[in-house]
Formats: sequence, C-alpha cells, structure tokens
Amino acid sequence: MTSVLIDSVNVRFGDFEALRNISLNIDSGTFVTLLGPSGCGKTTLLKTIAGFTPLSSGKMLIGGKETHNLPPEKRDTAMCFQSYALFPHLSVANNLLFGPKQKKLSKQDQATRLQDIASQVSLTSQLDKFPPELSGGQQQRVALGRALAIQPGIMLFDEPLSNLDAKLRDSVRFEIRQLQKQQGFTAIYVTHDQAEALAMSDIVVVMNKGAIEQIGSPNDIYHRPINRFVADFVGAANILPAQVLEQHGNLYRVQTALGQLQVQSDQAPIAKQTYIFWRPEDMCFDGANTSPNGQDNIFESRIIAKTFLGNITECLLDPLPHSHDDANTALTCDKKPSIRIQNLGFQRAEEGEQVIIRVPSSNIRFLAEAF
Amino acid sequence: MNKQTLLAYCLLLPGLGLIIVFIFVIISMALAQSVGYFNFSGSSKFTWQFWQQILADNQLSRAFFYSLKIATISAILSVSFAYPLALWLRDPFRGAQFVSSLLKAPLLVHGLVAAFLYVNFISFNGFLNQIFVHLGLVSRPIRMQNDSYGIGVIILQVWKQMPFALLLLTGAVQSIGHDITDAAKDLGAGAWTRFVKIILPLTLKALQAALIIIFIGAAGDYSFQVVAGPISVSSLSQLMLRIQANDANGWNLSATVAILLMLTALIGSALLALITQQVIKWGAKR
Repeated sequence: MTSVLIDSVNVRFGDFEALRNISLNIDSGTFVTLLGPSGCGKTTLLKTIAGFTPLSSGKMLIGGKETHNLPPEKRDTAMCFQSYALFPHLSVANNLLFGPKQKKLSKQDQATRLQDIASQVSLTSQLDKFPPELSGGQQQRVALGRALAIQPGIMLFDEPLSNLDAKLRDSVRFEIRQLQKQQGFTAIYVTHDQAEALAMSDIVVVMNKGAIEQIGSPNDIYHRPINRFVADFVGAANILPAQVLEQHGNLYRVQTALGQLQVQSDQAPIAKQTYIFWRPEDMCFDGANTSPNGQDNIFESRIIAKTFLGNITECLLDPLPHSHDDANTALTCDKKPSIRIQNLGFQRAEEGEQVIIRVPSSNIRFLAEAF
Repeated sequence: MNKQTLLAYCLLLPGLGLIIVFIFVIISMALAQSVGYFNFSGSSKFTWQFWQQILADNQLSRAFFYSLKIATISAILSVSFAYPLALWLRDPFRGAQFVSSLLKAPLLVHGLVAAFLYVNFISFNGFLNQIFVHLGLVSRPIRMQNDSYGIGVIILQVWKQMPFALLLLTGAVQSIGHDITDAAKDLGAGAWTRFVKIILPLTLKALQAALIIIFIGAAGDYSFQVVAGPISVSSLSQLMLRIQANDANGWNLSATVAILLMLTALIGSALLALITQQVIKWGAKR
C-alpha cells in the first residue's frame, strides 16, 4: 500500500495554468475520487501522479519517495485509461502479462499471475482473444486486469467507465470498488459523474479551473458543500443569496428573493450577505399553510414543469409572493429564482397547479461564500 | 452483380483497365521474348536458348547479387533512418512542419540530378576533397566516386527513398494513440521496449509497404548506378540495357534479364516483408 503527498503543485502549459497550487494528502488504501467538469485539471493531476506530465513547481511524494524526474515506469503506479489503451496486436493473455514481463517475473510466476488476474476480472475464457474481438465491458476488464497484474501500490483510473452503458457501468463500478477493498491498493479515480464519485469513494476531491474547491467524504461534499460551485456540481441544489437579518441561538432569519426564511445552523454564516442552499429532496409538498413547530419555511409555488423519473418525481417551481416579504430589502427585487423539488414516487400535482411547499429550517445550510 | 457495382467497375475502368492492360502486355511480351518469340533478328519460335545463355553468364550472377545487396541495404537503412524521424515528428513542436517539409525535399529532386550533384560533391576535385585537403585531413584528394562497393549508390538511394519511408511511417506512427505508449510506459516498458513491442508491431503494415517500395525501386535502379555506381559491376537494369545494345539477340536476352529483375523485385520484397513481420512478431511476444 502506498500513500501520495502532493504539495503546492503547479502545472503550466505555456501561458495556461492547468493546475494551480494543488495540495493533497492521500493515505494508503483509500479510494480518492477527483471530481470536476471537463477541463478542470483532474486528468492532468492524475497524469502528474503517473509521471506523464511534469510538474512546473511544487513537489510530490509517492510512498514517501520524491518523484522529481522519476519516469512513469519507475513509479509504483498503474493506470486504467479512459480509452482502455489495450495493445491491439497482443492477445488478452499477452496484454495481461505485459507488465509482469517488464518486471522480469519468472515464467512460472507469470503463469500464476495470469491465472489469478484472469479469474479476478472474469476473463479466463477470453485469454486467447484479441482486444478488437471483445465487448466494451470485457475490454474494460482487460485494462483493469493489466493494471492489477503489476500489483501496483496506487491504481489510477481515468474515467474508466465513461464508454460503458449505464447498466454495465454500475456493475463494473461495484467490481472496481470490491477489488480495491480486497487488495487494499490506493485508488485515485477521475470522473465527472457525481453519482459515481459519491458511490465509490472514501474521499472526494472537487476540482474547478485547475484548483481544488473542496476535499471531504461523499457525505460532507454532498451535504456540506463550501460554495456554490460544489453545491451545484455535486447533485442538484437550490442556491439563493441571503441577507442575515437576525439570530436566535442556532436559528437565523434571512432575507432572500423568496422572502424571509429561517435557517437552523450550528455553523455561523461567514458574512451578513452570504448564500444559502438546500437539496431538492430536502423539501416536500405540504397540505397545510402553517409550520407546526414554527421553524419550517412554508411558501406557495406554481409548478412550471414536472418530470417523472421512476423512483422520484422532479418539479420545477415558480414561488409565489411571500406574505412576510420585507419590501425594503434589495433581495426581494431580484429576479425570482426557480426552485427544484424532488419527491419519492409519483406526485399527483400537475403543471400549472399551485402547491404549498415546506422546507425544514434544519435542511437549509449556509455556504462559506459571501457576495 | 447489381447496377451500382457495375457502375463502380465502369468508373474504375479508364484508370484500372489501362494499368492492367499495360502490365499484361509488357509482362507477356517480355515472357514471350525470353522464350524466343517476337525475335527481331531471327526466327520466332519457342526456345530455352536465351535463358540458358543468360543463366550461364557470370555477369548475371554478379549483377543479381549486386542489385540484391543494394536494394536490401537501401531499404533497411531508409526505414531505419525514417523511424526515429517519424517518432520525433510525432508530437507537434515549433518548426515541425518545416523540418518535415525539408526531409521530404529529396522527393522533388530528380534522381539523375541528385546523382550528378553527389558525384560532383565527392569527385576528385570536388567540394568534399577540397575541404579534406584544406583541413589537413588528407595530403591529396582521394578517389571516392564510383566506389567498388556501391556505397555511393546506397547513399543516394537512402537520400532519395528515405522520404518515402518517412511519409508512410509518420502516418502510421501518428495513428498510435498516446494512451497506448503511455500505458506501456506505465507498465514498466522503457523506450526501446516500447519501440520493439508496441510501435514496430503497430506500424508493421507501413513498414512492409516502405520496404517493398524501396526495395523494388532500388533493385531496378539505373540512373544512380550509371552515374555513381561501380564500374566493375553492373546492376540488373544496367545489364539488361547493355545486352540489348550489344548482342544480336539483344531484345530476347534483355527480356530474360527483365523477367529475372521483376522476379527479384517481387520475391525479394515479399521475402523482406515476411522476414520483417516474423522478426517483429517474435520480438513483440518475447
């Protein structure tokens, strides 16, 4: 098992800064996902760890060893490429054995390694075939097996499931995680799919424009995002600018474009003018227009659009004027935002219908971002 | 055959038909002449006389092995020099386009002109000898032109043919994704292993095509040989033309040499391609 320490790393391509001041500590045996939109630098970071892209500044330690000028073949890493990068002229067996042969394993050890890996990735019956003769899922297994065959301390995955269909993606995702748990290698996984990141990882690193936005557990990243980018990128979010009006213990009254809302938060807002957010599943349709505990936020809305997604129904809402609006606040003059709501199962409400919405104050959180 | 296929063949006919007719006419004419038909100086009838006469001629075996040597060495050297350049030009860099164009410049220079300039350059009173003398490397000019090993011809062949190989290999090398070479690197393969086990096998078809084209061209060379080649030995094409001019049965004897030249080019290039394929496959599997 191998740890990775990345300290103030910068990577520049000419004038373009691909990575900006990246610092990250990855413990041995953890599954870390680099999550972010296209062009955010996650693959560049993966390639710097692999040794394909040199650092412009900063330092990187793999297994406690400085990696400066250490070529990829000398690092304790193996990479699963997005394109699989299988050697098309070699059979599955020879693809799997490519690494062990470079490591000068004896013929007997090679044969044992081949059998072990082939059974781990369920390719025992495909060993004589060539990559073009395999399905996408099988090619993905070969890529995975080929990387595993050198028993690396760190496995690097560059969006390995992006070419698979949704169902296959789910099963391979599960298999990768199982293999990582069984073998205990450190995994660094690049994806732009937030569901994949949340499902697989011990730690999620959210990246944007070459920098790290937030590092945390999937639960932290989803429920306690630090800014609008993370909140919006990791799942759907309702984000509103809010002006803090008053505080009673951990209960805050804030003025928003929807009117005055109550926010129950143990963490104080970083400024008087900040952002609040809640997830679409953190609110629900309600029959009554009163809050039973006096702390829930109730407002009327009209359903603009409704989408039935099987397990949930998603509605886009147009909030109606709040009865307790403070007309003196500039925020009420803002363009009224649309609100997303997701509820389990099928909802009877129809488009154009006026509904009452309840958002518990404990489900609304402050973002660590001021405006 | 449906209408569309028929139409496609009809459209191909002006080009393809002409090529097929010419090849057929020329080869059948040469074959016929080599066995006594179309005899311009005697009776036209079937005979092995010309084959017997030419195969017994010592000049033929010398010309055959000389042409074989020149063609094989030129083909191998051309692709050997072209590979590193193709790999170098694989990744775009400032000036790559200029370097690439410069390397292909020999394609624009006619072979005869190149041979003349080369001989001029290495001649007894040429630029190279003058430099050598001026630098004190030699006390008096040395004789370099028309060397008896055919080195001059090989240099000219490589200079002229290498761009062909480069053209073919650059395309093939560029078609290998960086992920493939990165994967090999990641799995522990050094530069030489990556070349032998990944790049060579994946560019095999282009390599074979380059070897075949260069081998055939060099095996049938006339102009380089006449201007810069050794005086003591002829190439097959040189022998073919000399016999035609000097012998009463010249056309028939020349046709026999022509058939041998074609067979040499065909079999030699096929063998070279086959051997290359086997060696590369063996290297990739090791």
